[in-house]
Amino acid sequence: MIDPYVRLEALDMRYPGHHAVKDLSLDIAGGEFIALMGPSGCGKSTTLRMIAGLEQPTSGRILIGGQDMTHVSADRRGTPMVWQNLALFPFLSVEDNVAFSLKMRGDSPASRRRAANEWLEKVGLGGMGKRHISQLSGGQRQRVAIARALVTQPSILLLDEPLSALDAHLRVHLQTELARLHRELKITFIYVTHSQSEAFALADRVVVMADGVIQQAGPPRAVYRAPVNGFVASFMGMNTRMDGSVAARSDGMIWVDCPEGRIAVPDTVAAGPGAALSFVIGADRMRLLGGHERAPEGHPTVAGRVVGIEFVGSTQTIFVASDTGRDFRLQRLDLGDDAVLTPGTPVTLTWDPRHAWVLPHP
Amino acid sequence: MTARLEKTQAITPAGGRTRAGNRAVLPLVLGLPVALWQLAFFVLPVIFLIVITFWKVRSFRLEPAFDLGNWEKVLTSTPFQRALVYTTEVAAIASLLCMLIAFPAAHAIALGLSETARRRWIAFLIIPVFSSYILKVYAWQVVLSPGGVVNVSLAALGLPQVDLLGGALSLNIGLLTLTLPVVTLILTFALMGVDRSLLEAARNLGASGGQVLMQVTLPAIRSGVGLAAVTAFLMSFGDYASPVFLTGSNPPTLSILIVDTVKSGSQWPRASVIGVSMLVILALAFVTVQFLTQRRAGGAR
Repeated sequence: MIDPYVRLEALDMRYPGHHAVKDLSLDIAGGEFIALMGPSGCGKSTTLRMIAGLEQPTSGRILIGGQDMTHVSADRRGTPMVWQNLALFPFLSVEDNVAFSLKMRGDSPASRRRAANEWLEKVGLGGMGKRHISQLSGGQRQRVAIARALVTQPSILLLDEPLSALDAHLRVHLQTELARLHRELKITFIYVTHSQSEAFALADRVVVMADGVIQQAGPPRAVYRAPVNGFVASFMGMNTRMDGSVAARSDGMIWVDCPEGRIAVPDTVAAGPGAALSFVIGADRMRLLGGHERAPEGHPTVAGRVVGIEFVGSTQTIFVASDTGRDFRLQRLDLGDDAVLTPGTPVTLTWDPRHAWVLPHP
Repeated sequence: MTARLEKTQAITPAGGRTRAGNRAVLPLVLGLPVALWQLAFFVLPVIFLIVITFWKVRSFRLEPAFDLGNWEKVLTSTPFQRALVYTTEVAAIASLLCMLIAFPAAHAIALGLSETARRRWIAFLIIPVFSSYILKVYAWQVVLSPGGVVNVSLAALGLPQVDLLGGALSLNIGLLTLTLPVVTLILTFALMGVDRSLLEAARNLGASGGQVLMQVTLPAIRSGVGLAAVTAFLMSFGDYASPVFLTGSNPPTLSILIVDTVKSGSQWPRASVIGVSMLVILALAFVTVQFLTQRRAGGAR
């Protein structure tokens, strides 16, 4: 990134008795869709609020478009935000809500009305300007909040868990809408969420935070397939983590002694014999061996029993407890054979050792 | 959601009617004591008060009659008209002063303080409401009188005496003693109910501090502001103690006029006319403010 649009430099935020954000630095390119994610209390919302000027960092700098914004007050930053609870003004009509920022900067009533209705049209609420907020559905209110933030044609849009109050169906629908807006407007979106699926569906780059510190930043696929540490691996969820000690190295593989046996993983870290090592296998990389099927040469096998099955549309997640007491997850297309996979059924898992990922920092 | 649905379905076929009946009866039973109290000690006395306005006084004794003369006499009398204008003026000015002093304080307490500090300030405002108002007005009289604390202190410093008792200053001090804590509390509670994210959203959308106040904070607590203003007006308009102790009944307010009317010749009917007139004015003030503040709250229809 040669010329970041938003640059966070060593941001630090301390509250009495709570160090919310620790020495955080991040560059965001112009037009990038970036998602800040992590469990609640990880500092993602505080970071967003500091960018908006709603919190003053204890130390560090915030640059937007090359300008130092650290001490610019919130009303002069031009960083509109979409709130989790929407924060629509209940005493104003839909149109007046959307036109609010235009009124604040002193646009004429006629041009305000025109711009507001143009935006309402763009978010699919044409002709609803005169309505009262209480007359709108949850999804419609969400659109009003988005139109209200975008009406000044900002170069950056901040979103603080904007979809978490909606039901699953609407959430997916509005995700598509947000992706479309981002494509058309080509402005920077900074999106805070605790939902992995939202972040992955929308963002060019995800930033995983924990404890006020960035754990990993990168394209969703890279973070998903190659988590840098145990926290990111478990936050991504859909994988199985195994631990063992290094036994030997050969042919670009490391052999690891685990309770499940000696298992090969790609040789991507410098670890001497005897060193502790952790690796993860994506749930979609796991496979069940059929009745008399044998695993290919060099592919590990783990015996265990089915604990449960979860369906997500056409895919299913099978939870397996190995004989060694470890929880394994396997994700695959729904094959319709779940009748034989009742809890307690003995199964054998296998995977291609090249698909294991060694955690650089356990 | 599902559990609730099942519950409702389970009730309806069998014992639906009984339960629905209980649901309607219970609030009635719970509300009955207060309703009876209000009926016995407010509605009936007011009706009696209205009835009396048509009675006659003969040789210092009340006699039932239907005489419109009391109304005519009082409404056309100069002392009544003067007192009416004066009382309205005093109450309006005192209310305005009260709102101007109370709002910034309430804003600071509700939006600018930590949780602990806010609780302390609220307690600090509630305590005066429970202490005797008459006692406080009497104390003000002592403080402000020619031989009072202020003038004695001034004399000790070798400064000239000031005439503090009587007039708008002392009257407003008295009325503010009455209204300020209550009005500040009403505004504080109204402001505490404002969704903070609305204020942040306004800032975020480019509103300056003044614009947030005018465009978001005040509209958001419109009915609270109305209630606070009408409370200040109601309390100041009907007050008796401050005008008596701090202005020596000069000029007389409507409350003072009532007492004078009764004292001079047991004119209960005419005093009742003044009383009923005051109630009508207060009711009008209340309804007007309600109308002004609730008008747009329901939204575009």
